[in-house]
Amino acid sequence: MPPALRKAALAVHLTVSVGWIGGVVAYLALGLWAVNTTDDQSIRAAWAAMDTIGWYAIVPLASAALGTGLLMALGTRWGLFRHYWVIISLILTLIALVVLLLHMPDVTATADFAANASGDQLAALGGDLAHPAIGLALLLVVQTLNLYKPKGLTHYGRRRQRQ
Amino acid sequence: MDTPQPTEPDPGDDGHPIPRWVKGFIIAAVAAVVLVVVVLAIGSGGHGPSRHLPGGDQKTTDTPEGHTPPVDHG
Repeated sequence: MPPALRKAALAVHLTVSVGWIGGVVAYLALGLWAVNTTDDQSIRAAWAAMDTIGWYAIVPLASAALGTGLLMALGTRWGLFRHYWVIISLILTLIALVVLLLHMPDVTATADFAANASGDQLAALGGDLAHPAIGLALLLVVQTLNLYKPKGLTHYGRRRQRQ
Repeated sequence: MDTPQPTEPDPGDDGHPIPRWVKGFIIAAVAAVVLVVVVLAIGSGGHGPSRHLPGGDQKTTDTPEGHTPPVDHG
């Protein structure tokens, strides 16, 4: 990959990856708000915002982070299967994205329900804390791996290095 | 005898096929997965936000019309 293109791809990858983390933090804040407030309108608003942030910010950013990450791996000397940190980052990113895509329809169903519910039905909804909290932890692990790039070549990586 | 050496030794290699940090990471990941499975098994099984919806953890977009009206908080 030419240096100029590599830099541009890296800039996009960093932007969408950090944006993904920011989106999850915002989602988690809304989830906490939904848990702690007793105001019906606030609970409805929190779920509507979680649904919107999920589909229109987190899902696109997560998909873009995976896509640009694959581009960076395949288009640079790091490769996709040469270093353990790259493989682990890829696996964790895939897990986070798959769980996100499986989870979002639940969020939409809950937001739809909350829009018309009231009283105890709304209070019983609570928030959504476990998924974003675990997701955030995964993303921070990925970010740390990508930043420190711990040493360790795979068998394939060692073979390629000898060639 | 041809014994090719990497041009730059890999400090994480230590002569072992898999670096220590990777082994530690795998052990931690397995422990985390087991913990989540145990927590889900001990709990009711439903874990998503839809567990609070009518019909439990099943996907539903039902509106509350037709359901029992909310309790009067007085």
